[in-house]
Amino acid sequence: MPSDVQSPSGPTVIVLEGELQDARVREVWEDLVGRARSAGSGSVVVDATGLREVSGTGLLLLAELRRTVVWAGGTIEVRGLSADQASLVERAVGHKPPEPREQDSHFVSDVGETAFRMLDELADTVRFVGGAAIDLAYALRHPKSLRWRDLLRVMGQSGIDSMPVTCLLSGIVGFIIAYQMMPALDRYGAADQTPTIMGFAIIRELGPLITAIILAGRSGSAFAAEIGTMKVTEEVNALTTMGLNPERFLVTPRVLAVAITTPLLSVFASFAGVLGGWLPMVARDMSLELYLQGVRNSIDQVDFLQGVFKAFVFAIVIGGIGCRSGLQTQVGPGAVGASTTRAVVSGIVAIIILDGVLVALFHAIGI
Amino acid sequence: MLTTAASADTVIEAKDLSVGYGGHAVLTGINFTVSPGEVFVIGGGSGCGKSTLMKAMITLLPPVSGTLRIAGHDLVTGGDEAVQQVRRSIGVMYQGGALFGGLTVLENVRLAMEEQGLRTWSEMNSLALSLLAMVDLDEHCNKMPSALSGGMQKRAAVARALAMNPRIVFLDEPSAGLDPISSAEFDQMVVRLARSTGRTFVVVTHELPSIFTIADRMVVLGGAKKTQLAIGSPKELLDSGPPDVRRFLARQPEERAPQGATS
Repeated sequence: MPSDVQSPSGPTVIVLEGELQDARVREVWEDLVGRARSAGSGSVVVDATGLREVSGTGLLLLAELRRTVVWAGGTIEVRGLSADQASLVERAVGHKPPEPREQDSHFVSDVGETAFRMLDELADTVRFVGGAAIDLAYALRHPKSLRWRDLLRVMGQSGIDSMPVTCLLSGIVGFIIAYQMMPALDRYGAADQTPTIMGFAIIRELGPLITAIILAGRSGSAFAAEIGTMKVTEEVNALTTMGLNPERFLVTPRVLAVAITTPLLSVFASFAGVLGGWLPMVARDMSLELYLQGVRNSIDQVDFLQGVFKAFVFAIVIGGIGCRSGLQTQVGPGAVGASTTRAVVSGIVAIIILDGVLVALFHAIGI
Repeated sequence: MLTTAASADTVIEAKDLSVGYGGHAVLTGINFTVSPGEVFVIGGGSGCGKSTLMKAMITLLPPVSGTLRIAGHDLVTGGDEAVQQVRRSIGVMYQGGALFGGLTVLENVRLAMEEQGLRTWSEMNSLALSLLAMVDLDEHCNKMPSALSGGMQKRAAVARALAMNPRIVFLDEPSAGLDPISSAEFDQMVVRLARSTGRTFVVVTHELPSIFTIADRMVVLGGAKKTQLAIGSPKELLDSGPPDVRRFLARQPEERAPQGATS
């Protein structure tokens, strides 16, 4: 049972007797700490001579008493502990932690800082993707400088392996668009114009866009994760100190691989989308031959090449952003995950913005 | 002038060197020289700046101020040209090995030679195999790094570091994660390679058995202000170094004075 004796001129004396186990510590904690606090900058004596048993939590209580007195500028003497116990209690005092700094934040300045940071980020990304395109051109002029094995591996992963899911999604999107459009066209008696609209929508726009979104999800994230892991395990540093350029070594084969496979994949995706658009037409007794004839009449070579060109540009941007996210990976357990997320989100945002720019550009030059 | 010829008896020279991040010095007052063929250890407790100093020496971190001359090229004033020259003069073994996971052990060792493109395929293979034999890994040459133990990966990384015939080989925490026997074998290998090839080895470590086995000389970093505490052979420093250094080498923890205590 704790008790205390205080004389006007002497120290506050806290006497501890019996046992100081977990349950008892909970009971007396507030009381004892309060007494130590009320001693202010005076001196406190804790007499533990009569304690038979002290648990780890009991030692923490003694440490808390010590901390309370020392930080208030007082002195404390703990009597009756073994040397090891006394050493632990003394050590637990440590240093007073610094006061947490007040966050100097303001909504307007936060918005401004974020905007500037995003602009810097955008400028860096444009620079990096531009650099990747230049490295690509160099690699095409000097094929021996290419890591062919990496190139073929990434081509397989981003092309052949992506084919089923890309075609499936594109086909379903084609089906949905045709299905949703038919009632609207029916109102004007123009349901037979569905193949025309599908040709424009899928081949010029949605085929390349769906391919690019899947590319961002599969390859962009894979590039960020692969290169990010290499960064964490110091493989990128190893390349640097071996005098090899990590950008050329890691980025060029990946960007070139997707630049080759994505336009091809986009052609297949467009075809699957067009076919998906035919399914609702079956109910209108439109034959596949007639449907495809309608699609063919609605587009020309320029429309087709426009879609392929878009896919090519999207591939370079997504590949570049994925690799850049990987190379920017910081340290820590969540770093690679953060890079992967950044690669996918930035990639998708970038291609949709870029798509808008390209549409306006093609319109402006009349194609 | 971008580069300066090194004096014949110095491959590394640090003078009033400060290193750190983003232009902010975290380690200051570094002064030492390393001679050709020497095994030089950078030692000190955890967080004393060993790895930061090594990063500056292997060109991954620009020095903040002072002089840092590696193989005759000053990394403070020499700019990109000096950085490229230094990279041609060094080989680095990173703490975890940092072998390329998609390449076999042989391909890892051959990689830099391939990229340089100056040798025939058979020459490169032969050289890579010889290097792997020097670290007792020739029979594992066709394995992927993931199939090797931690110690074997580190030895393969040493073979890769030697592939471009560097003047200086840097080893980052070679004993980290190794059992005592593997660690001792690694130390013996370092001594053997240093003596037989005449190359300079700079080893960052805080493992005392390794330090006493391999080091010709060492610099000890530490202190509240993170600086160079002493330089000399481990034996000299243990016998007559500053108290902090003697305590580090004798593995004696610092006594911590209690605060506000009367008991």
